Amino acid sequence: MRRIILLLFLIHATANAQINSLYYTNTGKISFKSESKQELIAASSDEMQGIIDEEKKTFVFKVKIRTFNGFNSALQQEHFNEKFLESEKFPQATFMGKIIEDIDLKKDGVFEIRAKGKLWIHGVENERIIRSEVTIKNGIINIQSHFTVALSDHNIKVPKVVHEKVSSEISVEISAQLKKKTAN
Amino acid sequence: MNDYIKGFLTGILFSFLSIQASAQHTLSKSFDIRTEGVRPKFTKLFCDSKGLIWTGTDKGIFTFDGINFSKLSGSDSLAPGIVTAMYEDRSGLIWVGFDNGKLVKIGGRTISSYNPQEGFPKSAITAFAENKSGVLFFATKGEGVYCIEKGIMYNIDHDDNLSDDYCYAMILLPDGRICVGTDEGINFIEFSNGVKKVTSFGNSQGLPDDIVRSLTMDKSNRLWLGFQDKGICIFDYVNNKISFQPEEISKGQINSLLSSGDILWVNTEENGILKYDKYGKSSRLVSENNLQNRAIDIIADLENNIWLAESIHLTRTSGDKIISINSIDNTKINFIHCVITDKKGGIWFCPDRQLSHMYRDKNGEWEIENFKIIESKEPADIVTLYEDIYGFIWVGSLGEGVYRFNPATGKVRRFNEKTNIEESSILSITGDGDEIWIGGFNGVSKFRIVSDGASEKAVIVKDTLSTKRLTNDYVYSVFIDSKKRIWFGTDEQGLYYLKDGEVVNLPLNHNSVHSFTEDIYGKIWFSMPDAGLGYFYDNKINFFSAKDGLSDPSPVSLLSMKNGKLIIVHSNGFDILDPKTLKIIYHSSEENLADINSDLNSIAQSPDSSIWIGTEKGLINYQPFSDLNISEPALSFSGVSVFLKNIETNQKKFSHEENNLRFDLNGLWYSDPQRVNYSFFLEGYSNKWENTKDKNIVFSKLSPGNYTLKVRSSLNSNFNLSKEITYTFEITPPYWQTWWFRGLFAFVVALLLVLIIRRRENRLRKLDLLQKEKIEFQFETLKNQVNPHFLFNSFNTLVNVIETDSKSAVQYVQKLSEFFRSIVNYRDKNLIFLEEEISLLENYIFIQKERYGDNLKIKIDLDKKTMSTFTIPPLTLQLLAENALKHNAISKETPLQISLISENGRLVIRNNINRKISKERSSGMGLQNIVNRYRLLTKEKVEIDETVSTFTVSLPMLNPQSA
Repeated sequence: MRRIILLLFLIHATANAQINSLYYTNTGKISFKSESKQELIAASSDEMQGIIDEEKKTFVFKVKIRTFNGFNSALQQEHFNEKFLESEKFPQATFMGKIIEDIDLKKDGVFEIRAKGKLWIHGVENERIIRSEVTIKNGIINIQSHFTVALSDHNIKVPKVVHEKVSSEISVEISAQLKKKTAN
Repeated sequence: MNDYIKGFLTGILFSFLSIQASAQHTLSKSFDIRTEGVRPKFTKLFCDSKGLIWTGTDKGIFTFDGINFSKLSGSDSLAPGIVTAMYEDRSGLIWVGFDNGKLVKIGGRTISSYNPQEGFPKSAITAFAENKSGVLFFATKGEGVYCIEKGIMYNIDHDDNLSDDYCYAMILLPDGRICVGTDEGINFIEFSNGVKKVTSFGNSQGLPDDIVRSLTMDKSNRLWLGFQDKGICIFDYVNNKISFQPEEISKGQINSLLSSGDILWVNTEENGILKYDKYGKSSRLVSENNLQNRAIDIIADLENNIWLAESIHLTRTSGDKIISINSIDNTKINFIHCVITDKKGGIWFCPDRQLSHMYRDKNGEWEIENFKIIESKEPADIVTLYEDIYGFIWVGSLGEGVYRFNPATGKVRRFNEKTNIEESSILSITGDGDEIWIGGFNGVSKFRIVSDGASEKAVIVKDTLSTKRLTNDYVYSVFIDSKKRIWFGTDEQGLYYLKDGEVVNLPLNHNSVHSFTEDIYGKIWFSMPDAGLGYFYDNKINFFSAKDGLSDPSPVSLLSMKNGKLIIVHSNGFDILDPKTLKIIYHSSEENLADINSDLNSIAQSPDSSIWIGTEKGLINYQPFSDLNISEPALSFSGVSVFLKNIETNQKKFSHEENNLRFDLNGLWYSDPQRVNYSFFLEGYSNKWENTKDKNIVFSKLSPGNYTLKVRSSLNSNFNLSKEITYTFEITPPYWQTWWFRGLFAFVVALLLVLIIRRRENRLRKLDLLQKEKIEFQFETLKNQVNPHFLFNSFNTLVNVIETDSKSAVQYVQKLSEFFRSIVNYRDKNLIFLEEEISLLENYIFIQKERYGDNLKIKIDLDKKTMSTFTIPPLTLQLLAENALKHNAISKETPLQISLISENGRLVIRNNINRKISKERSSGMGLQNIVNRYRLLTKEKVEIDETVSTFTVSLPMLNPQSA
């Protein structure tokens, strides 16, 4: 159901006559870190996709769970996909919503904005307000953001065996450059 | 454009009307913050649950205790902006919102930083609210409403169905929903577990104005809305419709609403602050300078004072609790000697010798009409009024007699019944039914309305008083109580009362009695000039004076109010006394009450329960139900310091070095902060309560122990009924003073002592034993040596030797003599060197050899070093040799061979065994004695080994001891 909405949004966005207001990227970087007493687990993906409609101030970001790498071992990545995030059932994580501040994304500058939207991970959706620093230069929107995700908020269960190795709150960092969509 | 003109005209019209009305003002006092250079402007006010007033300014956050402002620490470093909202959440934390969207949390007196992950809004915070599950909401001007649930911040705005993102006000409704006033009507929000439900109600649904600037709930749980342009209304949130809109306040901009008691205070932009009462009447809040009060914010404290933020002034007003009326219809009303109220709620009083009647017209406005009573040109003040059952007003004057006035016709009739009252001075008129009592300079007289009471031509006759005991002296007041006793207050004769024809006098030490009242419990209270109050109950009289808390010894008027309390008026204000608890609160000069004249009984209670007091400058109207809830200062600890350094107020354990503690108290009584007294008692340190006016208590050099500090506060010196606050703490003793340490220490010392004593005892015992053994051995040896047998044998041998070899005989005797000499020499010693013992032994053997010849053989095989190093108890070897001789047969066939050698570091004496058949008498003690002696000297044991053929004794080698 979510995928359909996502798809429709994207179609709508791309089919929109006012293509001039869309900024996008396919190579956004998203990384996360779990710091516990016994272990530090970190992984990232360079394949985050994002679209911002500068006119409506809406956005969608998504990333395929399988594109995360950099784990401490192949087994860890396997567990990450199979057990924790169940990426067969929920291949993507998305964040979709609207920017609260009324800023003009066409003008150069540095802004702190808050994105109010629905964060969808592991089949569970939560409304979140995520603060980001946005730098606009020469028509490129550069977004830097970090926030925490509580595993329990998204029904991600950690078995007792690895309880000490996985932190219950994961810190996530996002870094993405979005460019205007060219009319081809 | 049209609307502006309309509004302007309305404003003018309204203020024009107000000039016509009475000039009444509240009593106010302003406070400024003077410690900051340019005085800060107050932007927001808040009263927390403990009664403390918080003020938000453009220079930070200050608390106000009635006398001083205290800046909150951290205020400067934050400087986030202008305070626009303040709130206390369920857990007691104070939240403050600013015009730039920032928020801070305050716990105790420190601002704790609040740094949500989600960041702050960029628009001003306008209001806070909290729902039943503890979710905190805050409204913004431009970003809708935010809420925090379980640490996550959510946003509810236009996208979530909020009718508009520009929110002004917010309030929790009894049904659990949050109501928000916005630019597009009101919204109702339900929020739980991240799920939002928003409904709204605006102009299209019937709201008079879309822009809702203010919300408040009154004590009957009705929701009031304040609009941008259309005044106020009540919204029925159950049925979703407007249920009432007061016509007086149906236009104009409302800045804020405050519900306090029965009054709704409406802070309007154009017309100042309006007081809207339960009768639907509104009037303006005006201060003494007759300028309208305008405020950015308005709150009520726990004492029901109304506080206004008026630019750089924080103004305390008595709200509607005490209103002073100085003029009506532009005429000043002065010198009011008496006041009464009639059954319809009209007020009769006598300013400047006329009779004035103040009443509310059909619009609720005060109107006044004046009547001239006294015709004569002689000066005469009207001092007493009374309304009889026919509605006629009796007027008593000083010097011009009594008049009876008919309010319906305005006609007055001078009382000229044949009495001596005509020209006398009247002080008090009262009555019951058809009976009228008049008291004055000529004593007291009783009259009866015989007929036509309802007309001016009523027939009134004087009744003879049934007893002559009533004095002809001044009677200051006459009072009829609920039991129909008539009370008379006299001049220096105490009081009298008349019951069933009997007159009783209570002289009261020649005090005068000026006024009476009866409280709801049936006690008759009376006032005495310079002597305070007394009350009569159950045939007993009790007194109530300054030591009980009465603020003035000469009360002027007394009245028992409908709320059960007594009002006691004196020249500087009035006291409110609860006759049951005897607790008093005061209203006096701090609240600008002054010049209450000394006219007796110039006080009345109207049917709506408010009290009217006549003064030199006008009338004072007092609302007793505003004073119901609080009767002592609100007391709390505001800080605890160790050696002048502030610490957390929940720290309860201090180390023994932290023994200088200061407790800061905060007793809040905003109406009169100077009256606050404290009384404290440190349990564990002293055994009595101490009174102080200081706001801090210091204890220095406290010794270790458990303490409880108890504090009470009061408005006078009577603390018996005050609530107590306590602070229990402990000063831990240094480790060397703790019981466990002391116990352990004592135990160890005891143990050591025991050990020392035991060792000494052991040593002594050993010495003792050694001594005993020595003596025993000596004794034995001596016994043996003086043994006649030995001597006998020795002499026998000697005789033989003399006979056979005289030269050897000399040698024999010499050896014998040496032997005995050695015994004498060594007798007292514990140990001798081996060589000495051996020489002794050799002597002994020589002597014996003379007897036994070659049948006795001895072999001594020790090196010189051994003999000169080691020691042995004296006569040991001799005794062993003697034993050998004693127990064995010595003959040519069975010779005795004694050998003395060193074996394995031990001294060994060995002899072959040839047991004698008949033994010589032997005590057996010798060998045992040797074993015992060695036991006392060394750990090594003496070993005795007897085989068939040999007898061996093995002795340890002893080192020389200083035994």
